[in-house]
Amino acid sequence: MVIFGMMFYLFAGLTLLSAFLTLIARAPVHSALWLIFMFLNGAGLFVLLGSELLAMIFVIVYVGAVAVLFLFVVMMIKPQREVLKKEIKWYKRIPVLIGIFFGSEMVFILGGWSFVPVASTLDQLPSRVQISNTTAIGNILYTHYAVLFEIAGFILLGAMVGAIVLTKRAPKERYRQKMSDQVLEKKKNRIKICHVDIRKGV
Amino acid sequence: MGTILRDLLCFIPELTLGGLILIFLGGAVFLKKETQGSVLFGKVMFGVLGMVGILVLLQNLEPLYIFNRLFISDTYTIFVKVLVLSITICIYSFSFSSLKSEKVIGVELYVFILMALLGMFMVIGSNDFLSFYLGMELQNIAFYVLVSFKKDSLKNNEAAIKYFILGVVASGIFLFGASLLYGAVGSLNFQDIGNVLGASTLESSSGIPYALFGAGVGLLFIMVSFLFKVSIVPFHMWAPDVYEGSPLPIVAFLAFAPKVVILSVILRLWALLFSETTVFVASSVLKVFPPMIMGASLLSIIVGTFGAFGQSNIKRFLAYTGISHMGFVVLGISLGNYSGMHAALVYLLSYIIMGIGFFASLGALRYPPGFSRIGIVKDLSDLKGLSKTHPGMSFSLAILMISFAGLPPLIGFFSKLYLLLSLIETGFVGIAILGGLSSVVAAVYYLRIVKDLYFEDAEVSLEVVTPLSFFIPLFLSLGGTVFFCIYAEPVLLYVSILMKMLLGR
Amino acid sequence: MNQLLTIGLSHYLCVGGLLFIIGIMGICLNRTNVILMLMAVEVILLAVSLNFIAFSAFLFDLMGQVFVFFVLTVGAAETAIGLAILVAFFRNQGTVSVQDMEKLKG
Repeated sequence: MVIFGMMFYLFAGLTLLSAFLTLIARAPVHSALWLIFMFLNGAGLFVLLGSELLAMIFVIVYVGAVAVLFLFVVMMIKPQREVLKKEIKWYKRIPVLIGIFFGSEMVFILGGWSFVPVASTLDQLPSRVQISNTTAIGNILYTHYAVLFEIAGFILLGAMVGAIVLTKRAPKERYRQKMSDQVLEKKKNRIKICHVDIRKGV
Repeated sequence: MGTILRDLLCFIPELTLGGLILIFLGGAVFLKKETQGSVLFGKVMFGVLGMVGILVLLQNLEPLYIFNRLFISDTYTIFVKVLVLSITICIYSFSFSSLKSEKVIGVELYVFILMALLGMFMVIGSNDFLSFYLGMELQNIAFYVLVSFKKDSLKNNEAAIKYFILGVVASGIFLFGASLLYGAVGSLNFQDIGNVLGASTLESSSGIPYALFGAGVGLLFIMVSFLFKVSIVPFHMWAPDVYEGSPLPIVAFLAFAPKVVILSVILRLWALLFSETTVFVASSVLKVFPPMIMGASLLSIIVGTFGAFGQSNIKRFLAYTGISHMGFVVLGISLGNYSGMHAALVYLLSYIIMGIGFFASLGALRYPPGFSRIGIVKDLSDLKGLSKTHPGMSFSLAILMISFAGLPPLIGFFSKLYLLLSLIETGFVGIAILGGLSSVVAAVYYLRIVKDLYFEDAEVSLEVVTPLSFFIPLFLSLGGTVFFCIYAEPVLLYVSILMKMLLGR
Repeated sequence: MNQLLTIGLSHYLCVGGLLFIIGIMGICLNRTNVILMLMAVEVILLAVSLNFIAFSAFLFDLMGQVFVFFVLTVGAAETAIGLAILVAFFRNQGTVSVQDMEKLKG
């Protein structure tokens, strides 16, 4: 048990630290790398909670796809290390205090969580008793939640088409050989004969 | 097997929409020229939307839980679906040609309109926060793309980024609230939440039941994200900027359809959790909700009213007036009793009827060729002296403005009257007076537009484009605005049936 | 010491709550770069996922994990759209700085 506790503190601390560093790093590339590190540690926390499938999916989807997409865009548009143009007024700092206040409140609320007495009897879904996490999720994802699975497919389709539409540039004039134009071209359209006077130029 | 067949039958409109999205995407590949294809698809869209409407109307009116209680189908969902679909058809019919003038056209546009419609249908029919979330995200993604469709314009890009960031943050807040609610209740099904939170056993335990406190915090986060979506005051900042940066037809779509959808869900949840008939209104934590929402809606009435004063840009003006009208609707919902919710739905209907007419007539007004600005009219001052050149159009605009201002014989007056009466009936006389005063203030600038139309000299002679598709929504809206006072009975009766069903009487 | 190392539900919830606050603060206080805002959104989504999985594990109920599955899907889709909008903005503007977004006053 002790080793699990220590691992929890390791992963949780690193997750929080790297989330913080993601948002204050100067160079966007560093932010993206810290983001990747945060996802890895978050996946570690998921494993500690006993949901291996989601931990693996998290690594594959977020580290493998999303964070790399971020890196790709950062490389593509090369955001500069920015210098603040305007002095930041003191009142712009007030949100920090509010944030600290809400953070401590959140810890206070969540620290002593309790369930509604009937909560664990609701939703008669198969809980993971004898079967592995992956089997259990698979069992309900493709039966109980099959419709939502299809909707998720539509969301991905929409995102794909949308991303293509938004980044597609209008096709420029293409240079292509047109046989008919070449054959029909007349000499007088192309060649202009100028009778140039001597020592005057065109 | 029988239940799956029954569920699929209830889901036919959504299935049709999904299939049509795929057909449109596939069909676009085979079209030779993009412009030709978009014109063809644009005409097909009318038939498509009409067909979906007929399919919705053919649905069973009996309340049914479908797909393991993830979705629900009853009279209320069918009513809201028909409402959203008719908004879409009206806006589509006048936006079809004006989108061409704003150079926003392409086959993908129709795909995303259908996709937004599919998402909205899912949200309307949802009976679980999971299905609600997925439907809302489908709708959001379609709207992100629609808002940023005019990608050559810098203003539009900026509006798109603002809309995207705020939309994503709102859904993040929603998710956090949903996770807390799930943790407290153990389920995200609307009925389960209502049953668990309404159970009287919670009251008997000593002090504030801690789980109930958690559920209250979760619901607070969820409500905040809803207020983001309908642009109620502390969370309204995005609306003017996004409206200004996007093309007018898309603004028209954005201003009505998603808000109606979210409001319909708020109504359902409110009837389930906070209405006077539910047991636990008096229970400790959830008691703070109605006054809080009421305060926010009152603030948004005031901020919307005074914000609209200094605006010269038409779209910003529309955004601020929209904020104040949404404030009235949410004020009615927050009362939590039958008369308040009834008045809120009637107010929403009247706002939609008037607003569609206003958007349709604005969409028909164009700058003349050779003028320094092009496209659809942009500034309120450009409407000056319209009566000299286009008396019919300016007459209809004047009628709509008088109705917005809430002057007696028109629909705007009656809907406001219902709302204020229901406030007084419940005992909030002070709030009713404040609402009445702010609508008097609002009347000033609506009537200023009427004055501009009739008693000012024209600075620019606007053109009116006249395809039939502009005038059908305009005539429908004018008809609704004028004849509501004569023939309001069936509408009111139907709305009261819906509200009684929601409140479980 | 032993009590400190016994990890309960509230430990996970505190991590989730703090991550959520970090993400929201990251969006509110960011004055430099739009890409950082999108990253802050990812932080929020991680917080939400952690909350859901923790509740799901301690309630012995799988619904939360299924929710996280869908949150993952939608999060990836939203990131793709967001970055596409950002690229379109970059092509017109030349930067992705928050300070340069001043065409719309409000």
